[in-house]
Amino acid sequence: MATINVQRPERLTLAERLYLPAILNGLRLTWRHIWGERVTLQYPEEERQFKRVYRGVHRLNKDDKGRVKCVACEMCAASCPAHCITIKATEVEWPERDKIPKIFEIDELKCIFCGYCVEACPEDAIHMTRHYHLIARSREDMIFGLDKLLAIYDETKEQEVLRGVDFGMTHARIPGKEAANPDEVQKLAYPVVGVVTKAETQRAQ
Amino acid sequence: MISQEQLIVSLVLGLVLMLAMTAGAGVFTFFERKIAGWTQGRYGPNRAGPKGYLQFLADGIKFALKEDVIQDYVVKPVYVIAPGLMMIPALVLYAALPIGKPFVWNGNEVHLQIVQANVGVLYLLAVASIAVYGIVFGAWASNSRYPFFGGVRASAQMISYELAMGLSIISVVLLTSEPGINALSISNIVAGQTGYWFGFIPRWNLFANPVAFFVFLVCMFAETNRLPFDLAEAEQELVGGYHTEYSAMKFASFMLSEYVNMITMSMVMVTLFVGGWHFPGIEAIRSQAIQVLLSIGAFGIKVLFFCFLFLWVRWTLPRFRYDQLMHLGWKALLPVALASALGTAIAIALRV
Repeated sequence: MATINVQRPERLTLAERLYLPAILNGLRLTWRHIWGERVTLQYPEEERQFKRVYRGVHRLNKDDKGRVKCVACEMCAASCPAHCITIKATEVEWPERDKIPKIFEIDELKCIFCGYCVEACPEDAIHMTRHYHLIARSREDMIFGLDKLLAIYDETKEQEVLRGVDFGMTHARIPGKEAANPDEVQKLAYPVVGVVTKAETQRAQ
Repeated sequence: MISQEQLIVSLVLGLVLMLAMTAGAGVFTFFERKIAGWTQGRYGPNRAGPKGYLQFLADGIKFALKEDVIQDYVVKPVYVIAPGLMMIPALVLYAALPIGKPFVWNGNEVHLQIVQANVGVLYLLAVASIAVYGIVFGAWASNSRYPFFGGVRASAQMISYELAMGLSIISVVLLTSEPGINALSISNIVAGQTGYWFGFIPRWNLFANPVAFFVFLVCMFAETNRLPFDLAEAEQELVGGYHTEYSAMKFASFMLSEYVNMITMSMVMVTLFVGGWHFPGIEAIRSQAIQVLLSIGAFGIKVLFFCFLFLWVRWTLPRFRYDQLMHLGWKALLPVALASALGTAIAIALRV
């Protein structure tokens, strides 16, 4: 018959059975916490600051003439796993393109914020901003159309956001854009976190 | 015969203390939440009013405006008077406690004390034991299982810890007793603590008998149903314990009386063990008025310290298990309190 020796817990010492040393220790600990650091984020005044690869609300970029950059190729819609992008194209007689979107809608409720649309876009026309206040009063209001997505661009023009180049894509048609260094991409991939006040956020943008 | 001056002081004091206690309990709930936050690395309530200081008003208004549900199955008369029964002992207990140095007004000695009972200690013990009726009545009248459990636990707990508490008070009475002095009178107990040992250690009962002080400290937590002894309302096990079925102002008065009770017990603690209004160096002050004011201030600061201790301990310690509670009460505190009373008696017998 095999014998298994089980390690029994030792009997408590007198000091441990008196509770007192442990209680005093605990009181010391909570005392330090009372005067210690606060970790709560005071949300409306302070906002969490993410790195620029944070995948928040989308924006549609404008070109240097202030027109929508999108060429309505529907690559984003095709790559979207949630099928939340709807595009209707219309023809234009511009020297560098023949069509632009007439309707460009993203259903922000269906969207899973994977960033595939940003990766797929050959024109670097769609980015994801660091905005995470996504609020509306109805489901219809959560479907963002052209005007709203372009307005978000105007708001976040200066912000460094998630771009196609962050995925390490070669953007053949965009002169001057090169593939990002994969190491750098890896470093950026974890959105981390500092606390800034609203004033600081506004200054930074 | 009570002098006219004493009568005026008693009446004013009664009114002021009553208001101060109820308002203080409200503010106390605010600081409870603040300190809960601080110990956990949060800010606590900080939105209502400047720095959140009006939070207790917001809470009060909320309770006053809520629907007062009285369930069909409760025993209505008992159910309705239970919160009041809980409130009354909390609001009359401090009547026998002196909150400042006695002074002379128009040639009459005036005590800053609502009632000068010559058996003040007995009064304290008697009123403190009535407090459990509020809990038990509320629990029983709710006619529901969780409150019932809470009530049963509360009554067993109160009985167990009152014994040790009474014995630790006996130590105090023995320390005060001298030929020709009524040691059951609370003003005499405080007066007995005004001397010094070696000229600088105040003659507080805390230093005279630390064991009794400690036993009383533990019993104080048990008597007020505060953590680590809040088995009567253990949220995780009993929903809300004895006040599960209560709502609106009835619930609020249960809550409020818990906090009033805490302040009162802190006052009792300070009076019996920490020298009441006495503070080292009080004799050096010439002016009577300043002496009295500072003595009231010293009493207040000591009470605030013990109120803080209640919160500090609450957010540090987990709750005792029921068998641990009984073990601690009967097998640990009771013998220790007995031994301390006996030791004090022997020491005094040898001295005299």
